[in-house]
Amino acid sequence: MAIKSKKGVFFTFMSILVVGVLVLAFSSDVYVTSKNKIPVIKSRVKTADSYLRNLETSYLETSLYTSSYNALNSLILYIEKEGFLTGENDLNAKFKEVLLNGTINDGENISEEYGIKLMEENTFIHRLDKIEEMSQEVLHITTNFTKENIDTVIFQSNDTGPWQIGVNLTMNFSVDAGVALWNKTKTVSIIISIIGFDDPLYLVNPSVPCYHQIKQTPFNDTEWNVDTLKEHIANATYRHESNESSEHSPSYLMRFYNSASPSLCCGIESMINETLSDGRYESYVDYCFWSDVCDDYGTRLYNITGITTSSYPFKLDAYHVAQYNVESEAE
Amino acid sequence: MHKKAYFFTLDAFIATSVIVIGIVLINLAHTNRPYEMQTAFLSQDVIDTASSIKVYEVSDNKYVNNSIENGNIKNPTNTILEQIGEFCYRNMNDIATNFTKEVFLKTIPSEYNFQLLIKNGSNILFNYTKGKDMETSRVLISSKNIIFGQINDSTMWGPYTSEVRTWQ
Repeated sequence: MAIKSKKGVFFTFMSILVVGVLVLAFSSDVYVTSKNKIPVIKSRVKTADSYLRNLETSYLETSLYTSSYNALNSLILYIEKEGFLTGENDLNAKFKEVLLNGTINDGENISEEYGIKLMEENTFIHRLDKIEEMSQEVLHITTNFTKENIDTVIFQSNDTGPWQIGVNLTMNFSVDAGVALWNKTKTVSIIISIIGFDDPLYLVNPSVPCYHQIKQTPFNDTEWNVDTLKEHIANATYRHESNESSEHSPSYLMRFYNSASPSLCCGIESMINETLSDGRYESYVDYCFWSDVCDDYGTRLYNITGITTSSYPFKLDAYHVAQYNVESEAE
Repeated sequence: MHKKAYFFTLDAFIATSVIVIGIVLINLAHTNRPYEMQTAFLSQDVIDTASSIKVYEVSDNKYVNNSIENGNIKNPTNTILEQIGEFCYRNMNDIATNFTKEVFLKTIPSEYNFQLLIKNGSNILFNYTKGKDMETSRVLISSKNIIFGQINDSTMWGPYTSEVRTWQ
């Protein structure tokens, strides 16, 4: 009787052990399954975060840079065909339309209407469409840009200086990775050098358009004399005055709408060369030559010995004679 | 009584065997998992690394250095994947293949097989495969990324899909 009782206890322990092993085996599977879910979610969030960072720091900036570069060149070609823009607001409105949609004047396709094809597959909206499509297709992440509500501004300021332009673009967008959602308002800022762009003043004002590209003079304000001025004319370079005078030249962007108003931060000027000289009685500083803004600098104009000839009647107003340090050659 | 003792000994032996076999089976199930996970990590690691390491950072490689000097690589600040994407955009697939061999094959363990694809939509622009039997592989892991780049002030290429597949 006593032995029988011991047997029962033994079998009970045995069965508990076997059940224990079975429970352990099954609970181990459950453990592994839930453990495996954590890296999947982690990996998904990591992928989305990496995509978002890449989008914000690289894709949008590169897209804005190349689209803005092409939009600016498109506007220059448009000005060559159609003449100057009407003002700063017109410049911003037209730049925004060309940059975003490749259209101008409220919906005219700049490629079809004006034969300017630089924006084909290069508009900023096209770039946004492509990344929306790719993020869904490749990463299964839904990206949505609010394309109807994008603000842009093109500017020159103390931050850009005279030899660069800035473009700021602000927009809203969302990135939905399923396990995480980002809603963002983003301002993308880029800076483009104006070196190599055509000067609109030279495209519209002469009887035949002249492709006069922006080149910065190597001389600073303390180095001017008749020899450096000669080089400045021969090389068709541009100069920025670094002083605080109120007689500054217009900035590069102001040349898009033919403004001769002074720009303290960003004014640039070149000299009219012999091929464009038409014998008119004006100072040969470009914006003075094609406007009457420099008439206030004194009624008398000066020939410069060593530069002025019968075939090249180069003249400077009193202000620029002093600026270029050629008082002793002025007559 | 003799029979009973023998019976109990055998019973204890069987019970111990059941426990030992149970533990061994559990351990075997666990040891299989890192094998799969490493392949998964490898493909993600390869794509992460190639998306972050710049070309100039691997310029101690003779082929890469020569490519920078002879102008095939115009922008050494591109990442490795961006550089391969740029080669595809410029129709320089032979150079892209050599570049991929030089950069990847020394970093990927020889027991793993590897494929790099660059796609523009459904159009495959570049396909480099090291190894075989991809179709019959028990574990094949794919990781994807989006790549793009800039050729000059006015030209941007992409976005393309880059896909790394690893298998054993």
